[in-house]
Amino acid sequence: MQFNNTRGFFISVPNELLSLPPYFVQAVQNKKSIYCSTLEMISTSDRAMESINQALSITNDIIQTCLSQVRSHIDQLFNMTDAVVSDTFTAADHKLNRRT
Amino acid sequence: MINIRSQWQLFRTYNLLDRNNRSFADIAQCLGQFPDLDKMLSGLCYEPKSITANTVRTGIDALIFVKNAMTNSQHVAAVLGRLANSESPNSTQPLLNLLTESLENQQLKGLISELANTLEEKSTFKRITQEMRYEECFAIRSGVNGLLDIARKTFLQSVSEMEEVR
Repeated sequence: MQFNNTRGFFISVPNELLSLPPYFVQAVQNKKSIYCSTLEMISTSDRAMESINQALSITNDIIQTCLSQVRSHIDQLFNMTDAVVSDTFTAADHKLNRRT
Repeated sequence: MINIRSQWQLFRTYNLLDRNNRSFADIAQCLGQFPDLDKMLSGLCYEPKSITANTVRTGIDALIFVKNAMTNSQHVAAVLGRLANSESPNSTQPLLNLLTESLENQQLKGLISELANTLEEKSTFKRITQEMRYEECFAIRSGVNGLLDIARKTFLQSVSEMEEVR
């Protein structure tokens, strides 16, 4: 069982199957696998996505307060990001120099 | 124009990393655990005009990324501090000291405790979409809002039903 933002939850089946049973719907063939679903799974996936969206809308009020607190420290966060990027470049450059 | 002093400090840092393989490995490991910092900063700077599931998701992701980044930055700062102090007491490492200072900002430590009151302790960023979706759903501490807990239970019930169908 897999998930993506477009299809929601779906089933991934290896491409070696010659034909899918009839209860599999919305089948899309890829290079190595076939993405498909069942009617029951589609309705359950829709219910799961709806409950996620409901949870997200309730969460919105809570996180807006938190986000405004974080935004007041945005300059320190930018400094921290610059420091991390400098570390990353230093470490990567050092690794490259060691190889050459 | 090449700044000779900056290049010299960078060269000294490379030499120090060369002599301390373990610290280099620790730094590399810590840096690999950071989330997408561009996405984090853009999520913080973005104030949506209308509230949709995607905008809320962007906000939650930004908060989770901030929590993860600040926790990891403390680890990196600790390693850099040990590295800077590993040399003789008379030698100084201004580049490492500057980086340690930026990462160990005291005001950011206060922000970590504020986020800890809102977000679950175990919430962290995941690279796989499905796992990140779970993190977004369960990021906020339970007990804050009853309706939120009910929505989460419905989601878990739906996922377990799909597992049975599979």
